[in-house]
Amino acid sequence: MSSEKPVLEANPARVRRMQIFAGAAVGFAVIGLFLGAQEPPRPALQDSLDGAVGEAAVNYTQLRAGRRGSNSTMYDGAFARLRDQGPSVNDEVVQTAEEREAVLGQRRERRAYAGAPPTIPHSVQQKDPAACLACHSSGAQIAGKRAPAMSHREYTMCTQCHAMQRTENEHVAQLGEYPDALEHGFEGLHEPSQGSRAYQGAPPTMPHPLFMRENCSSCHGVHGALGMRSTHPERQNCQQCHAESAPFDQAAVPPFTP
Amino acid sequence: MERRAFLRGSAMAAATATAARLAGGAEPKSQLPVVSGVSWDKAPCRFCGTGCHVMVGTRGGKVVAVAGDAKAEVNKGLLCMKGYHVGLALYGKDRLTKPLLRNGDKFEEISWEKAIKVVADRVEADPKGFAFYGSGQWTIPEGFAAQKFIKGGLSNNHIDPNARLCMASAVTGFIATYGVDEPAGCYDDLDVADVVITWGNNPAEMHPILFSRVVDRRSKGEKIEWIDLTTRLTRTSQHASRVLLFKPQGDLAVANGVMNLLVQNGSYDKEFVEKHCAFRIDSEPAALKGKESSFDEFKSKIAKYTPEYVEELSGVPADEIRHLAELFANKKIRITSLWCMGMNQHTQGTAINTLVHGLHLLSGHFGKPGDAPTSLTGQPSACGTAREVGTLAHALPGGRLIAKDAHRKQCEDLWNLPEGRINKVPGYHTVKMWEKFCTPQAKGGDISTIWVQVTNPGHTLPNSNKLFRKARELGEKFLIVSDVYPTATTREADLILPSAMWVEKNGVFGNSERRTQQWFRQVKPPGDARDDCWQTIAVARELYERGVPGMKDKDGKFLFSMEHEGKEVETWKWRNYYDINVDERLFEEYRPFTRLKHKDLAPYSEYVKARGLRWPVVEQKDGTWRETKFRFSEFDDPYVKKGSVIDFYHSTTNNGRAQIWFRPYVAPPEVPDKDFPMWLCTGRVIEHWHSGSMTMRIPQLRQAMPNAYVELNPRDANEMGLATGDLALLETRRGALRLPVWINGRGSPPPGSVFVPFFDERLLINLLTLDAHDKFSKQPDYKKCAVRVRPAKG
Repeated sequence: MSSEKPVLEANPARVRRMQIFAGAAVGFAVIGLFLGAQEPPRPALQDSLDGAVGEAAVNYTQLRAGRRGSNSTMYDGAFARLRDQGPSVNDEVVQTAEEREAVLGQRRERRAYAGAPPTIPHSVQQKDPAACLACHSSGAQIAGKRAPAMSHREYTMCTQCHAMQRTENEHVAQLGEYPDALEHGFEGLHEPSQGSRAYQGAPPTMPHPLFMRENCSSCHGVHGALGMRSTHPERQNCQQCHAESAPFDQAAVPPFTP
Repeated sequence: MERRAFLRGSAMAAATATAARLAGGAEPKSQLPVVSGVSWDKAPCRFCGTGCHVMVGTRGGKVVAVAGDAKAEVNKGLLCMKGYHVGLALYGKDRLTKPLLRNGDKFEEISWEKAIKVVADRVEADPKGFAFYGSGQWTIPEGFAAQKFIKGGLSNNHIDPNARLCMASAVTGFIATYGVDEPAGCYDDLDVADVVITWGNNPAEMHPILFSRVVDRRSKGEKIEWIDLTTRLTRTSQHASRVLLFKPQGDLAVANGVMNLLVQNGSYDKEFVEKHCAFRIDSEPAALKGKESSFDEFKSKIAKYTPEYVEELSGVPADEIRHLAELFANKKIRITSLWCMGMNQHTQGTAINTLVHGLHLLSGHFGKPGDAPTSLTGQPSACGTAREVGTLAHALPGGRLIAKDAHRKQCEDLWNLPEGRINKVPGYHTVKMWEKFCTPQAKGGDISTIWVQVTNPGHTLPNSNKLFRKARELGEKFLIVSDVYPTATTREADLILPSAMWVEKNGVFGNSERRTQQWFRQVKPPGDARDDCWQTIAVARELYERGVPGMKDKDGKFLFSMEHEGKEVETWKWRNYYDINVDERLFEEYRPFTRLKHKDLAPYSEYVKARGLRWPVVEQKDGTWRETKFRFSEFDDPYVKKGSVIDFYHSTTNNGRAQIWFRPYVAPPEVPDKDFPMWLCTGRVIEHWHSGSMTMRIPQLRQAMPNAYVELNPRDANEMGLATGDLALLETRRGALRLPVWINGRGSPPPGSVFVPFFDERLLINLLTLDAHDKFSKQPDYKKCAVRVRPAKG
């Protein structure tokens, strides 16, 4: 028993395979591995010559065809886009009220209430937390997909707080919805869509607390969604002009009285 | 550099020109308060035994948000995915809101008045056959009230908690070693330990806050060696420095092997052992405290556990045993051991618990910050309620025992009961209680009614065809269930009582590090749901009014009589229940019980101010209350004799010494054979808490983990022709179940073993598990039994 560790070997092998692939496509491919490459469809089991049973190898075309999920086509034309410099702080930001509503709506979809850790809208390689950091440490935009930078300091266990929006493995989810529990009556608190201004042209206050959201550029920086992006991302000391909203901050919670 | 260049390059004008488009182009308006009407208050999380504190945001009588409590030492503002969604647990649309009485295959809504009478009728008909099956999720006042009702009122002692299935072996391990229950160390150890050893424990999913508290130290550049002793690869293994896969029950051999090397090499802590330890060995007949042994006897008995022999028994390579022994021999490093169900749900649970304590004592890795054998609990108040209030069939509050005359007398005095009121015969422990409930009265099944509160035995009892479902066929038995949602238990109930949960009621919990935590009711329960504690008091009052003598104290007063300004408050009437703080009254009644074992609690009002306090909490000269982080250590524990450095002041040998046990390796009760050739292990996943009755109703958690599955090793799966998503049929000698296969999923078992999470009530793995249990703790083993796996047809 002690010398048999097929499980231990299986995963490094998979990771190695991925690393070779990643080396070829450099930066974009690293992201692709963890975001886009989902489990391919299972090939049929075949009898080999000596009667042993083994899985047929999967080729790259099959791998690509087998990807599912929202990020599955993000690498189409990726090489051509390599020349694209991506957004910069010098870009003029033009955004509309509709875009703001859309992005706030998306935020609410992914959070039970303001302050809940967002659920993960894509599949992840659960076994390696470093995978999350490939995209989310400094933020990225690829093929119209945004990978926001973490808004908080780096913690090691991403999946401790962030749940998958869908199950990790769709093959395993076979029972459909849980009986009698389809409806849920929780109505989460959501932050107002914007802060308050003392007068026209005054810098708005922050409509949310800063705890776990110390990195403003996560949502408001150059990789931020339109509707929420700062028009002046070059300015780094946000709190110089924008005041915190006391009602949200724990420090402002009144002392407990029985 | 680049960014600064951009800064210089970017025109200030561009920013001002676009200022009008700020905030989505909307015309700036003057708005005042950012969120109106949201109030925030503290509460401990409802889920596991870590005891994180959350801030609960409420508006319009409902919970609308949750935040990690930045003032809490336990979690420092962080939570796990369950904690962040704990507020949603209240709002599943199928909350139970009316008392329901079974009529054939249906349930009828009845009034609370009638429901209380039905319970009272069952008690009156057979007071000696009425049992309470409670919970480590009972608040301290709830457990205390149930305890007083059964032991001080009905005089039958048939009360046991689900914690019997969860931490009973941890308790017997502590008592056999130190003479008193609960860990000496605390979570502060995790901030300074150099080596962390997990013994069959996966805190990355089960106690995530404690896990990340350690591994996040690595991000800050600290070096921590994490050794994961495990029977399957888990998320914890992913972060471990060394993963030592062992054969089920091999943990006994590993602990013995390391201790043997320390003794053989002379690298144990001689001074610590000479000053603070004694040796112990099993007696005949077996008793929890065993009989006296000696270092020489210990040395000769343990000598056969050479690294090579341990490798043979456990599968852990001999060199890894040597490495562990080198770590324990090193006085310069701090070692913390963590364990939970892997060591407790074990037919040798008491033995392995005493062995791990013994290893820390023998090596002197004890009593300094970072050097601690620390047992974790799975429920929020397994320590506070089940262990400290002692809602167990053999126990009385404050670490007392039914079997001791003096202890019964102390309780009778504190409760103002006539002498002899508390029965000297211990009640039935969990497995026995349900066995008796599932046996016809005529054949000795003398438990006729069980009242279940805050737990789901129809889902979580092992071998549940035998221990739960059988009762239904008998017809003569009556099951009362207080709960918040329909469960596998309520479906079999005769009477369902709708309960309030978490911040719908006042409460006090006690977590894994001796921390007692208080909270207030913040919202009202839905419909006619009411506090479990009120339910107990209302039934007691009904019996009192019917003249049942046990419901009176020795002055003829009602057992739960509470006065305000000289007048009795009718707390048994729901409309009056919150006229006073019943929790505070019961807590203050309980406090004097805690002194005997030096588990002193502060007044209720101190807990109102704090994010929990770790006992013993001792009053200082200036009137303040001081908690204790490191028990038995002179530098922190006020009860340690001055000058002794370490003092085990509840030693079973009455000399300040802890016991180092010799416990041999013993094979598991059921091992794979030709008919059932594989190991079955059960457990949890990060998304769901225990039987899933709360977390499966939280969309974010249910969608992430929608149903149970079976983990297979790829080699086994290949041999069976099974792939991810295929249905497998699992069979044991007790039951069968079909489950979808998941290979290299959340965890990976080694060849020859499978793992199934137990949260899914549609896929009840406890139909297959074993009810064999530890001889001292009576805790069953859910972690290993023999199973046959093959492709399921259809």
